[in-house]
Amino acid sequence: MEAQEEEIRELIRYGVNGIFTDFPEMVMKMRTKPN
Amino acid sequence: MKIPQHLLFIIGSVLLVFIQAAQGDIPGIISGPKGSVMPIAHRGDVVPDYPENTLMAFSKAIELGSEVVEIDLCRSKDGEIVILHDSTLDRTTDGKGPVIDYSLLELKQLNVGMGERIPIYDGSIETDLQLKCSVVVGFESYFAARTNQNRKPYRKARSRFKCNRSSSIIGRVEAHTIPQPQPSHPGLYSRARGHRDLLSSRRGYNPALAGVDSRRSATG
Repeated sequence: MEAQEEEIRELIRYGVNGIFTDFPEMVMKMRTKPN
Repeated sequence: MKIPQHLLFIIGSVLLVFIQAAQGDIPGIISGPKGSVMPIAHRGDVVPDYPENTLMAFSKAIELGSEVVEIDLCRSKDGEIVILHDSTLDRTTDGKGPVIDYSLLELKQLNVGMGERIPIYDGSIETDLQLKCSVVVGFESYFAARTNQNRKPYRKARSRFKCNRSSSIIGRVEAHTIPQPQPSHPGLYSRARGHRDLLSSRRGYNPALAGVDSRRSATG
């Protein structure tokens, strides 16, 4: 789970508009707190 | 100094595009609130046990928070469009062989798991889904079965399938469309190169819209 978080965080920093993920709630939570 | 009117018009138009981009309002390009990143359900599926590209999977993905559902289209022998990823039936259904060898009636008899059937893409499903989320449409198997090529003009495909402005089309990523690596993210480039999906817009390929599956390495 931590690895997923780190990868999503990295992609958000990178600036992609969409992330293919099985953890949508994680993306929605992290996009407001990218750091 | 007096600025010519036509120059003011051009400057105004450019500013408007920038404002729209910041707000995520450019037609054909999907984006989350205030341009933020969106979770996409790959093949409409976020729960591993659910059969991909099914109505059951779409509903669950939306329920769990997916803001975009990616679906894949294939063509039947009689020219109908169904929602299925592979160009063959073997992996995801109880049928065998190429999808293009089966009529719509025959495809509707197949089981894709958990009692689900192959959904038909007739426009209504996109309308239904878009009441709740954006839809991204993949055409790889459709074109692969039809022409054995994956580099068809996707903008024409958008028109053919009457995708509305909230939809986009998944095409193939070519090496030159992948963003160059940033010094602080040397690892991302190799992963992005391995992933061949790209969300393209009516304006053509836009690397900023590329997403990378955070769980599976499968393509398309």
